[in-house]
Amino acid sequence: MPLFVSDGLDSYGVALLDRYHVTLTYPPTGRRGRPRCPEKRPLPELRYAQVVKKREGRRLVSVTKKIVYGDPQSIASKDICTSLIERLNLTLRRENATLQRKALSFAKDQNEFNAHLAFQIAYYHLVRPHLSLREEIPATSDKKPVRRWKRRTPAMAAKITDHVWSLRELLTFRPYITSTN
Amino acid sequence: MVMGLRGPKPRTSDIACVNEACANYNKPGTQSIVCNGTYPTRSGRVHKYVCRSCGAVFCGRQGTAFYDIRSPEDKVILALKLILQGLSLRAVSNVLGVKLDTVRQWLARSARHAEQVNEVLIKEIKVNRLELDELWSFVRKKNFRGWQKARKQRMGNVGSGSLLHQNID
Repeated sequence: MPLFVSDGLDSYGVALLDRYHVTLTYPPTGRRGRPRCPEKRPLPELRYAQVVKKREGRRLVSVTKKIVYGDPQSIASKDICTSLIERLNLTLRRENATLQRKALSFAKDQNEFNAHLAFQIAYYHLVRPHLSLREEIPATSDKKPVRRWKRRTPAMAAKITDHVWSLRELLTFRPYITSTN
Repeated sequence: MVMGLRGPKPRTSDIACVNEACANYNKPGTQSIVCNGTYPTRSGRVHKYVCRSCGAVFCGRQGTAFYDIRSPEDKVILALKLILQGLSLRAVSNVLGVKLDTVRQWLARSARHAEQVNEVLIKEIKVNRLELDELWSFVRKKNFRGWQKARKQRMGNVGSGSLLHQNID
């Protein structure tokens, strides 16, 4: 199971506990009164940590890393970080007119917004090369490579495809073909 | 051998029957699909296929985002590329000289297709770390603009001095 990391919003902890838990029931005591309610205990392999930011007005006062579920020994402090998803959010916001702040191009219809986002995410996975995923093409002694870097998409990094897709490829890919390898 | 006017024969190993009642529905590579002529569109000739096991005839665009779209494919792709660069749908419709509803429909169809592709390919990915976050969106969110409400309450409905300000608020 992966390590889950989020910001300080508690909903993720609730949802994760709901999904990965064992129910602890207390045996009847034989005495009078209402029996104790069964409790949800997180599975031992569930690891979840939060980056909690404290703000005063607009100023960021402190950043604390909080381990909610899981053994603190097994979670490295540098892994508790949400910068990758925040960067993804920024990319989505920059390249989607419906997500621009204080603009009139916001979506007027929820379904249309969902469709726009789904299309954008498929494009992000398969078509759009990700700069930090690029690989250096090794130079051989006799020949210098024409390009220094090989562009890669997130799908290539996850070994789902072996090349950068074109948009036409995404639009004409038949979804009943379940593997591209 | 000289290739005919219609170019090379398309590969049928990737094509599956589109008839839901057929035994080979959505199963590519069953040898039951054969070519059945072509027809002209604005972006070249599109192949037709026939399923030998159920007799269904369908075109090569079925199962892709271009099915039943009359505009040239390049125009649709250009529109989608503009959308993916962050242009609004209305801007795209103005640039390409098509109706706003047309752009909407192109996006909706491509999105439906992309969603299916996502569903099929992007699953069961092994990762060590999963970051969770939410994204604020602006669909029917006028009532959530608390700062504006607070400002109106603070200043009354008069605005902060000029008529222009009042209009903006």
